[in-house]
Amino acid sequence: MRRPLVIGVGQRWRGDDAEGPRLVELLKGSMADLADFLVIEGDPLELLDHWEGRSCVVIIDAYEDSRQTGEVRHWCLSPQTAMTAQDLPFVTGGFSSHLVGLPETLRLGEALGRNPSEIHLLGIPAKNFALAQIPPPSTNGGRAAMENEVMQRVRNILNRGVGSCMSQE
Amino acid sequence: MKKTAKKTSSKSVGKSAGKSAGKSASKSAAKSAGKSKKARRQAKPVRDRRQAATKVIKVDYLARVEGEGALFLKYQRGKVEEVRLKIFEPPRFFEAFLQGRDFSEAPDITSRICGICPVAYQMSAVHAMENAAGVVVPKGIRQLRRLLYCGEWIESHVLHIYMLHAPDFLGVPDVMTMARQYKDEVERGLRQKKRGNLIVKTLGGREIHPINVKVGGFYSLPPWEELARLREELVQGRDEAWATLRFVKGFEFPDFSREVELVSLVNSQEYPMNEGRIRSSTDLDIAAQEFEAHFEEEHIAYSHALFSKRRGRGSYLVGPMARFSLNYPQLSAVARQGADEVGLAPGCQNPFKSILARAVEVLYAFDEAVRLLDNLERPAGPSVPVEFTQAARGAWATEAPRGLLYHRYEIQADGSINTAQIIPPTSQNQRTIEEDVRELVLAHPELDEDRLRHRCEQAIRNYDPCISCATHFLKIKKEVVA
Repeated sequence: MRRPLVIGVGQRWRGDDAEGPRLVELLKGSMADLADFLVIEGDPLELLDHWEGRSCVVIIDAYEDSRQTGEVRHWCLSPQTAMTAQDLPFVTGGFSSHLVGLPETLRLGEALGRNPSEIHLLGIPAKNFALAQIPPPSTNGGRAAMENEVMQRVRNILNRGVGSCMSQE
Repeated sequence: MKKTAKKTSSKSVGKSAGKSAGKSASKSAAKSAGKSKKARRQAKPVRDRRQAATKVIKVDYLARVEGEGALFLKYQRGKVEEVRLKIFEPPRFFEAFLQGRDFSEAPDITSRICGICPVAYQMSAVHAMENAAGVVVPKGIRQLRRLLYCGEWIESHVLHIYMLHAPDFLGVPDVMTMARQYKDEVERGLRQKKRGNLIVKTLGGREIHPINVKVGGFYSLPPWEELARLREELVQGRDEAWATLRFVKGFEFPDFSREVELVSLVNSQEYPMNEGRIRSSTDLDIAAQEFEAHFEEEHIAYSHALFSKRRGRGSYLVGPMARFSLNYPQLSAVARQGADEVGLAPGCQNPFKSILARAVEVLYAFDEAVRLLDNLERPAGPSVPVEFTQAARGAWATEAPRGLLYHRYEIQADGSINTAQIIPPTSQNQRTIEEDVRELVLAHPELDEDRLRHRCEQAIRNYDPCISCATHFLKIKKEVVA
C-alpha cells in the first residue's frame, strides 16, 4: 500500500483559490516523512490516477462560501462515516470548465470504485477567486490560526492512520 | 477549483397559460368525442384557445456545456414565437488585452480564452502572425504542430463524447450516473482523454494551457525518446477508438435533419487542421484572409457573444459535421472505415449525429498522430526567427475541435499589436443552434414539455458549445484626443 497523499487543489493565480497549493507547500516542509504531497492545478481527473493504490488521501481546497473566510471545514468520505461525495454541500457542474471539477471527480471515482477508502476534504471557505490576486500574508492573525488548524488536522489524520476517520469534524 | 455551496435547481418550466395548456390535443379530442355535434362546435373555440396557448421553456443554466448560458423558448402548437440562446457569461475583453502587446505574446494570451481548446488559439495566432511576417516554418515544425492539434482534438472530443453528450443518449443526467451502468465505457473515455493530454503535455509542456508554442515554432523540441514512448500509447488509443465508435453507433438518434450551409477549411492534401481554404457546401471558396469580406458578426441584445453570419445570407455551421462532409476524401483509410462502421456519410444533416463525426475524428486523430510520428523530420531548431520591421496585417483560420477559428492581427512596425479580431466557432454556430431548436419544436409537437426541454438541451449540446470562447470579445471604438 502506498503512503498517504496530501493534495492541494487550486490555481495559484486565482486569488483565494491558491490556498490549496500554498498550504500543501507549507505542510510538505514539516511532514515529508509522513506522506507524499502533490499540487493539482490542471485537470482534476488526474487525481484518479494519482491516488491509485492509496487508502488515505487528504485534499485541501478553497471553496466559495459566505462563511467568514478562514474557517476550516472537514469532511471525511469513508465507510466509517458513511459519507459519500454526493453528500458534499457543493453545487456540481456550475463553474468548472466542461463540467469536471473536484466534486465531479470525487463522484466519478466513487462510481468507478477508484476512490481510496478514506478521503479527507479540508475546505477553506473563500470569497475571492479573481485572477492575479495574491492571498494575504500569513502574519495576519486569522490567517495564521487557519494555517495552524490545517497543519494540526493533517498531522492528526496522518498520525491516526486509516480506519479511524470520524464523522465530519 | 471554484465551488460554491448548493443552491436550488436552476431549471424551471413556466407556462403563460393555465393548467390545460399542458394537455395534448388528442386528449382534448377524446374528451369532446362523446358530445353532440353542436356541443363539439361550441367546444371548438375552446380547443383552439388551448392550442394557441403559449408555453415558455426556460433553462436558466445550461448543463454540460462550457461556460454560462441559458435557453429561452416561447412557443405554441405549430408556431415558435421566440428562441434565444442567451449567453450571460460576461465579456472577457481579450481583443482589447492584445492591443499594444508584442506580437510574440498573442499565442499565450489567446490560449487563455479556453481551457479545453488552447492549442487552437495558439495555432490560429501563430499562423496569423507568420502570415503577417511572410514566414513559412519548416516541415518538421509543421508536423509537430499538427501532432499537437491531434492531441487537442482527442482531449476535447473524448471529453464531449463520454462526459457531456453520451448521457443524453443513455437517459442519465450526468457521467457520474453513467459510470455506474457503463463503467467500462467511462474508464475507456478517461484513458483516451489521458492519451490526448499526454500528446499536449509532451509537446506543449503541460496538458492545459500549454506553454511551449511560439510564433515561428516551439520554445524547445520534445526529447525524441519521449515521442517513441508516446507512439506506443497512441497505437493503443487508435485501437480503443474503434470501441468508442461501436459505443456511439448503438445510440438512438432523433429523426431530425435540417438543411444548413456547412463551412470548413478544405485542404486537398490532408484532413484540415492548420491549413486550408475556407469552403462551404454551397458556393464559397476563399482564402482565410478573405474571411471578413464574406462573414460578419453582430451584437444581439440578449447575448454577450457576437453572432456570426454569412454576409447577405444567414446562418451556417462549422465543426466536425462540416469538416467531415467537406473533407471526407482526405480522411485516412482507417477513419473512412470507421465512418462506414457507424453509417456516417458525407452530407449528413442530422446534428444529433455530430457525436458520430467526433468519434470518427478521434479515430482519425490517433491514426494521424501515429503517422506523423512515423514520418517525423527532426527540425534543425525549435523555431525560425520572426520579426517585423514594418506594419503588417495577417489573418489565418485553423480547425478547432468545435470548428473554424479565425484570427486577424494588425501589427505595427515595432512588433506591437494594433488591432486583433478573433472569431471562435461557437459564435459562428449560435444562430444555427437557435434555428435547430426552432425546427425541433415544430418537428416534434408530440413531445411533452419535459421531453421537449431535454431534447432542446441535447440539440444545443450537439454543438459542444464553448461559451467562454464565445464571450472573449470586445469591440472598442478608438477616439484620438488631440
